[in-house]
Amino acid sequence: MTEWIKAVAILMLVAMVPVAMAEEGNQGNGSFQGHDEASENAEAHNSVENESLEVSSETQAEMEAATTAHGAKVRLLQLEKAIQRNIFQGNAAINAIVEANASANTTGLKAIIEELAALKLQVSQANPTGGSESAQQFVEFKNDAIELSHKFRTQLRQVVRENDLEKVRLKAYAKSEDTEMARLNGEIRHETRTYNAEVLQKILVDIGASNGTLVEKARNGEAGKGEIMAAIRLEISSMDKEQKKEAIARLNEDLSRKQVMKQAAIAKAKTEFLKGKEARIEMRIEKIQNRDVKGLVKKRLDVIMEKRAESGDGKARAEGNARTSASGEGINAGVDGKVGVNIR
Amino acid sequence: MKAAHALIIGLLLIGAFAGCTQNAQPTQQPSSDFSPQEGSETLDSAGNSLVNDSSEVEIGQMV
Repeated sequence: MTEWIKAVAILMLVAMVPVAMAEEGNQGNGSFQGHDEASENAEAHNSVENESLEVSSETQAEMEAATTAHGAKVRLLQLEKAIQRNIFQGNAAINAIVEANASANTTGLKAIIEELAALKLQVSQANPTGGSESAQQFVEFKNDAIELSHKFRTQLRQVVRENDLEKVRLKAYAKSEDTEMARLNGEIRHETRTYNAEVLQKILVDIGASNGTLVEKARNGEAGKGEIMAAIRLEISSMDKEQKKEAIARLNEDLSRKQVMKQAAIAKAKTEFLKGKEARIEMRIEKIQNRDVKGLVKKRLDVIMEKRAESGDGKARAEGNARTSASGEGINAGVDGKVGVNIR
Repeated sequence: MKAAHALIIGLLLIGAFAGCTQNAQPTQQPSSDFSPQEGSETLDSAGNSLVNDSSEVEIGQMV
C-alpha cells in the first residue's frame, strides 16, 4: 500500500511540472504589472550621489507627452508643482523639528530645500521645443528632484528619532496648498487642454477625419480623455476595412516615431548622466543666494566631479580640484549624529 | 495494477493539459492584414498620449 502512495505522490509532482513552468512564464511577461513605483524610486536613490540614471516605467509613460513642446510644458509644470509641494512640506517638517528642539541641527535639511528651490526655478525657466531633447530634459530634472527629496528623507532620519517621524509627518502634510500651488494648478490645466487638443488634432489628421467641435471642446476642457477616445473610436468604426487599415498604420507610424524619440532621450540622459548632473548643479549654485548653502552644494558638486574623473574624465578631476582650492575649505555644516526631539 | 496505470496516465494527461492551456498566449495577427484587436491596441496607445487633468508627476515624499 505504501508503494502505491509513493507512486501516486511522484506522479502528482511530475504532473505539476508543466503547470509550474507555465506560471513562471506568465510572471515574466507581466513584470511591470502591480509594480510599486514609489518603493522603486526609494530604492533607486540612496544617500550617496547616484552615478547612473534609472528611468521607471512611470517616468517612461510621462515621457510620451514630453516629446512635444506643449506636452513637455505640461510635464515640467507638473514637476514644478511636485517640487513646490516638497519644498512646502520640507519647510513644515524643519519648523516642527525646530519647534520641538531649538538646538537641532537643520542646516543640511535647509540646504536641500534651497537646492530644491533652485531646481524649481531651473524647471520654470526651461523652454521646451519638443523632440527627444525636451523628453531628456524632463527625465533629468525629474531625476534631480527625486534624488534631492530622497536626500532630505535620509537626512531627516538622522535628525529625528523613528518614534517622532509620524508626528513630523502629520505637521508636514497638514496643509500643502499655497498661492504658488494654485497658480501652478491653473497653468497645468491650461497647458494640458492645449496639449490634448493638439494630440486630438494630430490623431484626426492621421485617421483622415476632422472634428473641429471636438477639438474646441478639448481645448476648453469640456471634453476629457474618455470622451475624446470614444469619439475617435466612433470615427474609425464608420470606416471600411481598407480605410481602417490605413488609419491604424498612420497612427502606428506616429507611435513608433515617439518611441524612437523617447528611447533616444533615455539613452542620451544615461550616457551623459554625470556630465549633465554636474552642469545642472553648477547652474543651481548660481541661483542660490545663501553663501553657506552655496558652499554645501559646491561640496556636492565636487563629489560628482570626482566620480566623473574616476569614470575616466581626467579633465573633470583637474577642474574639480581647482574649484575646491578656489572655494577654500568649504563649509562642513552637515548633520552630525542624531538629535532627539520631542515633537508636541 | 491496471487501475494504477490508468491513474498514472490520467494524472499525466491532466498535468500536460493544464500546462499547455496556461502557456497559451494570445497570438497577434500578421501585420500584413488589419485586425480589430491590433487596431484597438494602437488606439489605446494613441490615447495614452493624452494627459488627464488630474495626473501628477511623483517625486517621492519628504518625510
